[in-house]
Amino acid sequence: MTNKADLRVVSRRLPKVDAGAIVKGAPHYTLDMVPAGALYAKVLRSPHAHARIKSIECDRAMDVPGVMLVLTHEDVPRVPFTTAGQNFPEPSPYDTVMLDNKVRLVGDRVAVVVATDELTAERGCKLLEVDYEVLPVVMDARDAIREGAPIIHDETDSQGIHDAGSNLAARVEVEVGDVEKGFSQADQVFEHTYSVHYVQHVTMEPHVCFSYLDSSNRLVIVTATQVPFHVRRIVARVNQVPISRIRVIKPRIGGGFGGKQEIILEDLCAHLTLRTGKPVVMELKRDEEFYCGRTRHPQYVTFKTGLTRDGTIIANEMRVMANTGAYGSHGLTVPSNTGSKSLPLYKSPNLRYVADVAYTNLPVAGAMRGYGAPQGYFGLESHMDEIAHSLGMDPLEFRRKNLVKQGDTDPIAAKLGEGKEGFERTIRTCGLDECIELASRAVPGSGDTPSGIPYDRKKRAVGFAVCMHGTGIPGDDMAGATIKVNEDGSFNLLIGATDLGTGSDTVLAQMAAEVLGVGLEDIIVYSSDTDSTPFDVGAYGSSTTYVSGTAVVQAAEKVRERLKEVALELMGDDAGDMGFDHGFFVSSSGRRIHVKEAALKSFYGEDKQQIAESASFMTVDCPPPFCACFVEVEIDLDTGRVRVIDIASAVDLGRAINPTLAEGQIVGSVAMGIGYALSEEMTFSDSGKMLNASLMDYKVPASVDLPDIKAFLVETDEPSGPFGVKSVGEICVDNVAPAIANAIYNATGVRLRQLPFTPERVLNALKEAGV
Amino acid sequence: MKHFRQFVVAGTVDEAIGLRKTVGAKSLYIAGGTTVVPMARESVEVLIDISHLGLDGISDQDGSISIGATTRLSSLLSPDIKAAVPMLFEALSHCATPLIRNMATLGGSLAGIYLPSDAGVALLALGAELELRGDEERVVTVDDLLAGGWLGGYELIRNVRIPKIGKGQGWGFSKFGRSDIDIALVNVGAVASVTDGSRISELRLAIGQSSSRPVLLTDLAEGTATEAISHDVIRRLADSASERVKVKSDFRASAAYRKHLVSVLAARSILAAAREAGARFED
Amino acid sequence: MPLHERQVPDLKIKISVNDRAFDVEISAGETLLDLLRRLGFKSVKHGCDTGNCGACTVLLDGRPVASCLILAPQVDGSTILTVEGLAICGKQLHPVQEAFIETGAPQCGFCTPGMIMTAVSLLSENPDPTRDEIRHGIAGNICRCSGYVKVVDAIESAAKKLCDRDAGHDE
Repeated sequence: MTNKADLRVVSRRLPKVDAGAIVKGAPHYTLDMVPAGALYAKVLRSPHAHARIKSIECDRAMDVPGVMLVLTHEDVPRVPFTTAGQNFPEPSPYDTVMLDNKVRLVGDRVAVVVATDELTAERGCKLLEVDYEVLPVVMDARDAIREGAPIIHDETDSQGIHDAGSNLAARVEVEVGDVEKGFSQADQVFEHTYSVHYVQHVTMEPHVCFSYLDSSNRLVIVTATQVPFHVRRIVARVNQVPISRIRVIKPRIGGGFGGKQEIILEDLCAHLTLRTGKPVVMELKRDEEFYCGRTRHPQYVTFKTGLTRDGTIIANEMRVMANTGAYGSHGLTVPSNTGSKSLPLYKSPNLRYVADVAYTNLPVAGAMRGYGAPQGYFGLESHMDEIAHSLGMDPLEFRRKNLVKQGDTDPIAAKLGEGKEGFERTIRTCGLDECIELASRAVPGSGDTPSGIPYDRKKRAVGFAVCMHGTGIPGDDMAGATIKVNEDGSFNLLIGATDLGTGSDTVLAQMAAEVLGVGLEDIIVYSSDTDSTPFDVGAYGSSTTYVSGTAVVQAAEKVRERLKEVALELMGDDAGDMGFDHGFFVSSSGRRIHVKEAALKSFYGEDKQQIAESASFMTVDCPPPFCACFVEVEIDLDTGRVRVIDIASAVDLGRAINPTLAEGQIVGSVAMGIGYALSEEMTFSDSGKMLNASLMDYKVPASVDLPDIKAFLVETDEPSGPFGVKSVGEICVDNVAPAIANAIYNATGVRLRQLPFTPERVLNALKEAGV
Repeated sequence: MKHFRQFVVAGTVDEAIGLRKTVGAKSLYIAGGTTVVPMARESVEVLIDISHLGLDGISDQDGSISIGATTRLSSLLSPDIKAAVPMLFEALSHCATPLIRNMATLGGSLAGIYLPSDAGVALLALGAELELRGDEERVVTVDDLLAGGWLGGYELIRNVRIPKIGKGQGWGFSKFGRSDIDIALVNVGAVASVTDGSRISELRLAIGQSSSRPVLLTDLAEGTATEAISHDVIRRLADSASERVKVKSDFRASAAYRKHLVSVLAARSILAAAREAGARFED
Repeated sequence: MPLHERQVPDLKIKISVNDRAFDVEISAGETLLDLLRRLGFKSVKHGCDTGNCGACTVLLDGRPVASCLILAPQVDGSTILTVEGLAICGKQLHPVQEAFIETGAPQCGFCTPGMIMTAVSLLSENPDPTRDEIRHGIAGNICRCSGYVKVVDAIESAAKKLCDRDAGHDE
């Protein structure tokens, strides 16, 4: 822990290191760097949600001038893998191959056409003649596991599927104490089921990558990814080439939110470069993003809670039925996280979590900001509100009575890890009380605006929800950092960590600068290049500031120690007990030598040397950040339209390395949460085709749809985190939807248990309730 | 990159029509391009640019405003239009986004009236007339053109003439989308005449909704012409309007919800129009 | 009129991009977005290609437009400004750019060039906008990272900078 007043670079609102390049429109995104003459690869995508490919006639496509190559499942290696970019061995089932003889969703890969340009590749795709045997489709997780449902993964070579014959991709079951006994001892038991829908990340930059062979015949993949090292490993395996032959580079990327923790293009793009020897570019167009990008798992979430007469929870059971879509990417771990992130928020001696994860013929679910927690919290925080109202208790008092507190242990954490057993966890810091205080004061409620017009009636009310999240994946997340000294006292900071627009390059550089006693401008950051930066699992799990940050701090401390030796030498005998004061090594006699002077001397003094140090850090801890969200909504009772008119989110993030960037994470998460609650919804035809696959009909919040979202930082100085950090990247998306649901209830008395609260759905509920 | 093969800039109206006749169904007029370009219908190979025919500009005549078909929507969001045709101004200020309004033209948003055009519904309520050129010139109201199946094969819109709202008349326009930037699930334009500050003597109600073409109802007020204005009267007018609109279900909304919205928005537009026309009544 | 069998670059147009004159061959179906990227102006982004996201916003004769909705042949004779041409004399950042940096508006940055161009136009038409007017002005530019708060902050702050700068010129 560091005294905040003593900090010079950390805790400061400094501009992002890439901000200048961004505002000048620098060509620093993947598609801006494609080499001239690169071939364009276009995938023919399935129009059917479930079908067997009987034959593909390629001759007419091959005859198109400019078409260089057409590949089908008969032409490529069949290596089952998961597109999920996770640690090896991935906990997701290996149920995907590069090209298959079966399609399992609308938009699945059928064949690929490589041509001199995009239009020609598209033309080639149109001329492929595919004979499909169309199979029955299943779209709902509950239907998928019924007997007689069409079997989606009937192939024999997939691995790690829980029960393919029942369409069960994964199953989770853990228990603490004895829940049934708890229910039998309870004075009252409440049970409610909630359902959450299909949504997508909608990064402004669609998935894109290109690959080429360098002069040493090594395969270089430049890709918009959150997980460059996992890309390297998975592409190597699928294409049966050694890892050493592959270099993956992540340039600046236009947003990730979990959607780019996936290998959606790189396996095939790399294959095409290996096949042709030529640079090849692949991208998803916006409609393809919707059809075959990743999504947030739809779930049915049931809570059953037993309480004593005074409102103390003594048993809490959570049952989840999740839909992973056509493939099981993150299929085990996201639903695990639904329980492990939400259940620990309220103390109970008896806890049980059960999740079934089903395959369907709809888009593939995966990692998306919150990683299962938004689904769990919509259920939990709606359920807790319902219980409080039923008990006649104030919802805040009821929560305060049962909330986890500083010093408590989290028994679920030990049982439910990343697809396996987890690690013990004690809550060392918890600033939730202050979060509640700040957010509630910021949204006092503006009161109803009564109108006597019987067809223009509006209601307003405030609602709230709280949540906790995690920081990194214990036992899994590992990051490396290398710092190299330059003659002028600048430092190269080499990190595998992946900045997806979050600003991690900046906050990691701020930490290095703080430790080394120099300015942010003295740190030259280079990240996410598998050849020249150390390993990092990538940007996911709210881990980067904490895990990669610890590695950076440790590497910087090692470099400082080495420079101190140089300074000691320079000072000679009078050094004594050397201190460090903002860039100056200070001897006991008060003599001061600056880091920059030591740096120069390290190269040109008597003992010439290149000082460079590396460190790596694996976390076994996962300190939870906490968050309170208060929201005021206005409901148009005659159209059902819900509008957020005021909202505040306050988060205990441990410590903000850069408050401006932390606020950006909070406000962005809340905006995404509002979209999740009110307007964003992927809708499907009866045959499984998405009907609103455009930004015209998939309603991402625009500037005019949102109020000025208020963000508050609560700092608790987490002892296990570098400079006291926990995390902030995901948590604030978790509790927005239930806060809105609770506000709608407070305004109308109508409880909505199904997301999203679109005008039509809200109006129907109001009518049913006679409002 | 779109698949279009040829782009011809027409120099005169006659040339544009001649080209369209020669090439036939493979061709399409293009002005702003905001519909033609993203839709890029596969059957269309030749685009005939009609944005250099001098068909843009606004002129204020006695009793009406004349707007050239290729006038951009953003040019219509002016104080002059706000004063002269406030309903059109209101409709356009909630139409699409600034980026699209800077390219899209008034003629273009009418030619694509099968979409729930905000401008189209406002002009329908206002009784606007269109000057068309095909083989010959004709002048038709938006209403008559809708009744006749819309534009002929190679007809183009030259000009739109909008009568100004008279004394004792008022207007109201409401739009409903799933969010603030949306095509209208339903939009309703109303022009009402109020007599003695207490009765709606005439009502023109244009109703657009995203499942079929807009309609104009002009006889609604006949049944209530002798009744003093009240919320109850307005609701009955709106309900009977809603009953007469044909709606379908699609992924954006169910038919039942659309009908409900028509009724609510019609009531809100009628109320605004009646108030604007000087109706006095208690809330 | 003979029809081409395939798309060919058979048209020539003259345009000015960021004060540089271009005489370019184009094909009928090339969008302004494609053309600008081909000419090296990579700040103009493919976000949706249907005019719904604003990542491809440029100023066409001073007005912000979605360049994915415009065909290159439509802009013959026009003047185009992209964010690459915004810096004064190619060096000093425009006050809107400065304000975006200072307020921390850009996160992933993919929407930023388009957002900045819309903001520049907005402020030239309305030098002292309210927050609400700013929100309406940028309604066609989707940002998925920021929730727009810092973007609106940046445009507010840029308005002040521009106002101060103009006042300075008057002295």
